[in-house]
Amino acid sequence: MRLVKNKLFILLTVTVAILIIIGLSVRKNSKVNSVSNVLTVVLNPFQEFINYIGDRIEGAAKYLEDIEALNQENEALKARINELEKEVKELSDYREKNKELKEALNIKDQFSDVEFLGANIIAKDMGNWFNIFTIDRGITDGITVDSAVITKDGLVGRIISADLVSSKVITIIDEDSTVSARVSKTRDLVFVKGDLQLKNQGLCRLDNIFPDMDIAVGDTIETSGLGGIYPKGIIIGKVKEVRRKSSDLSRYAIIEPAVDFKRLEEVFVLENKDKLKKVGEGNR
Amino acid sequence: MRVKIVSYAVLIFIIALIQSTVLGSISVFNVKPNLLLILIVSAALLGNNVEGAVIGFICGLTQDMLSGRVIGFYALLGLYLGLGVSFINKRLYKENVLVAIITTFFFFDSI
Repeated sequence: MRLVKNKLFILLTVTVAILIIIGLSVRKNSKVNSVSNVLTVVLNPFQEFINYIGDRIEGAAKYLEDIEALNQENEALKARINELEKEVKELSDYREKNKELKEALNIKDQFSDVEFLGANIIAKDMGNWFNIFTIDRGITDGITVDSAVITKDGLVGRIISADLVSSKVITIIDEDSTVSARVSKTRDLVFVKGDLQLKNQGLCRLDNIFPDMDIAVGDTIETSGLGGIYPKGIIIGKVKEVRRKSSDLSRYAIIEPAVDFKRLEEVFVLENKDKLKKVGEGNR
Repeated sequence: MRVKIVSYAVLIFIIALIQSTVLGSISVFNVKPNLLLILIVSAALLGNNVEGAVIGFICGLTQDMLSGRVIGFYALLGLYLGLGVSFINKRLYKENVLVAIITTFFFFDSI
């Protein structure tokens, strides 16, 4: 009998302790999260190895498959290059002009003080509760918490925690993520949120649509730069559908992100250049 | 006892490695297969309740470290899952593979 009581007591203590730890680690930059270093540092090389092998196998299979298609594509691309070269010549004129005008207007370029850090995705989320993945850059590379993560197509998410050699990225389709955004066409401010039901299809939702707002399927959504995490003007995605809630008062829209979250492999982390200088200092 | 601990540690390490890399690309009806969960259920079915709880806790903690939002979330789930399964294991004929499969399915979405 005493043993049972004892066990119950241990169970209760452990439960309470875990709850306290959860509470502590929910806070941003909390020290508790550095416990993960124990495992991530050890696992990191193995994960990279497996991913490397996987890429190789996939690459070899693709190589055999694609030769025919590549030949055709090559021809098409060559033609396209000629077209584009013509365009580049025109555009470089515009660039010069733009530069002059910008200097005249003294516009602050948001990307000028930002460094692009390339990173590979080495692990996907293991469970079904979160939409988080791990990249192979960490504090030692200058990654800081809350930096924006993008690909060439658009916004991916932000860093939620940085370990020594790896860090975790939360995607914009996770329901914990909210991005302040703008409709490119009308400049209206909106919020892009993850949604529990939509995230499995790789979609997210757009809230804060005012009744008189002009929004239609196909509109492009970009980040607004408000809030300080995401720089201004990164493409988030396109409006796929505008829905009306049953209350009939407010509308919300389904966004199809420009990034394909199922096929992500490489991402870029946007790091502030000032922060990069003091690598590893006080970013936990 | 020592052999048991070491083999469990190696098993968890390998499973965590496979789970976080290869299995991410497989999903059935939007649910990813979870090897750590299968390990928890099997350990809890075959061992006593302390073993089930401890293995559950450690597997959960591993998952927290690798991909969780907070430390402790999966650990708590794993602890109670291991404990729960090991409490009912006396009533089940545990050498039967089918029992293990059904139990795993039953708890599939919890982690």
